[in-house]
Amino acid sequence: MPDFSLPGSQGGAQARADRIRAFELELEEVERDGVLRLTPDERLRLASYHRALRGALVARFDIDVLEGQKPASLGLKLAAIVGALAVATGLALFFFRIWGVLPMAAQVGIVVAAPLAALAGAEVLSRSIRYRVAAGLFVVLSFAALVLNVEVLGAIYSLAPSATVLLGYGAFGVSLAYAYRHRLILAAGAVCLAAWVAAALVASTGGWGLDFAMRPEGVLLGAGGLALWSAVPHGVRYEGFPAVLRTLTMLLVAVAVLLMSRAGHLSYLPADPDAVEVAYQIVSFIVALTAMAIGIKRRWPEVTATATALLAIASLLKFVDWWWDWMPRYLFFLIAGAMALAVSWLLQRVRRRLLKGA
Amino acid sequence: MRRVLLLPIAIAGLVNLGIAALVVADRGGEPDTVVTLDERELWLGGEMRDDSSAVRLHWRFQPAAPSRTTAEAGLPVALGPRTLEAIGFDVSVRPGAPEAEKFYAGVPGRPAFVVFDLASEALASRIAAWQARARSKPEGRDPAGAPGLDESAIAAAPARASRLVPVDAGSDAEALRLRYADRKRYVILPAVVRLRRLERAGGAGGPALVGEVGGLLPETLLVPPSSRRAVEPLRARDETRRLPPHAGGVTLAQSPWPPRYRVEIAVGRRMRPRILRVDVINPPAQPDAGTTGPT
Repeated sequence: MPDFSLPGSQGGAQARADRIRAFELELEEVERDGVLRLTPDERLRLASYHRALRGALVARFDIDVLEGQKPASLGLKLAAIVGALAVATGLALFFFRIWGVLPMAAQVGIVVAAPLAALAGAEVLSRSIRYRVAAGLFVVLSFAALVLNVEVLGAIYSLAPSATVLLGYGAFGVSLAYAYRHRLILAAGAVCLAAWVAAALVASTGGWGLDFAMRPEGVLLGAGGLALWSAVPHGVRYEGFPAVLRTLTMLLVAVAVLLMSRAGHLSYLPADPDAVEVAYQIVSFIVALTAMAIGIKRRWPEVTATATALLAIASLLKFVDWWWDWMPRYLFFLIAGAMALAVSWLLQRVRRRLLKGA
Repeated sequence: MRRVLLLPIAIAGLVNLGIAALVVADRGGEPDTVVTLDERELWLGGEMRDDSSAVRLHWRFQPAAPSRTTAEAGLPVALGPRTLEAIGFDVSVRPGAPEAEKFYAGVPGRPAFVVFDLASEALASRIAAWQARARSKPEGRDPAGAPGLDESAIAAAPARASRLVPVDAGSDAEALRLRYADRKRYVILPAVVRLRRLERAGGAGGPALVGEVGGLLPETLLVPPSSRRAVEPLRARDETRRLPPHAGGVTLAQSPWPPRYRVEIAVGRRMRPRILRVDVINPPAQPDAGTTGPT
């Protein structure tokens, strides 16, 4: 039996298993067409090699190797996320239900210990690949417990709400995400950090940090930070992390730019609000088209998808501005549809060019 | 233990240390103020659909600025343009200028310290204005159309109105305390102050800039476990279903019934308020109509 060179991550292992399955199917087709025929001995050696390799990949990474396993795995992941959020909410509500009857020392002790207890649970469960999903649930619980920790201590000691806690939530979430390769918590932590940047910008001007939504340009700064972070090499161990960060970057940019294109008076810029709105409308198209081009060139489907969504929404808003009041509704929607088809045609051409270059 | 776990553990520790430092900084030494309020100023609210066993009291205070209507013409404006400028708001554009509407729209609030006068003469004029509107404009008594504004309720307003009347604000709590040195009369509390541009500042007045207290920080105070049992039965009478009445555009923050409990609060060195104790008044007090001073 040969020594296997196993991939370094679960994603790599799944990709290898997918390639084996594709190879087997293609080999069947090639043999059926008479292009190639393996001897019984060769066929046996190949099959036994693949069987052993699959076994090793499953044992180490708990990946899907059979038809039908992938949809089940996807359902499992979704159920785990919903379950983790529901359990976290349930535990928080249970705590609220009983905390009034607990002595203050017990209240403080429970909320301070909860994030660390959940972290210990995640650590124990993560040692076995079989309890991967349960370990992920405990990671989510640990993050939720820290939020509860801060909120409850704030209530007990009459502390004013502060945007600084977003930094604590973000740093804790990101450190958990890297410790357990947890993409959901990475997203939660990254959003908290981006919000903190926007809040700190408002606070630096003497404003109330938690009003950061009234200055959406600060969110652009946070999104810029996420974009830089996504460009840091993550290696195979954290594959998928850059894609999460890029998706968040695009979503935050889209929300901020679209808001600014409608509400120029929320800008930091010392300019006429109407001029600011027009500038951001132009920026929204430039950002969307540039991001689409980058997404296609770098093969970042998440960037292409969010950029397309931004382009569609920005276009629709502009069409409404120009035409909605005077144009017959049927014509409005026909033109909007024609525009969407034009974008589809453009993307189709790009796709064909990429195929020719391959 | 894996080394990678040290970071989340350290961050959780730092977060809690930060909270502890804030608490020590506020509660170390003598409090700035210890004052007794009651249900007029701190109302008992249900929370989380009463799923929570903790009991919180919500602040109730008189508005710092007139409402958007002209009905409050003549009532004093506690936080005017000069105070707003001192807090750090940019008030460089004249409120009547064409660009003013957009300039002052969507301005983030600013954290500040607000001075509340517990024996304000302005409260009497607000109560009188509210009573006059309530009696003269019965159709405008309650925007929700809720019952309860009969003559006895109107007459009881002086005994049910919150005594927390904002009179000033600033960024420096110590400077405010020097200016308002009577600790029994003036309570200084942290708040978010918001700037508002009024189209008509009452009567024939033109556009004006006023400040309003967007919310005290924190907005609710937790009743300590030692007082919780005494107060909890009172929660059954859910005040959230009976909003404080507005009469013909005049707002008067008041309790729908006579105070049922007294609350002793301490305001720490960093002006963070906390409840020391809550005593139930049994039977509920019937304060004299003219009682608006501190207890």
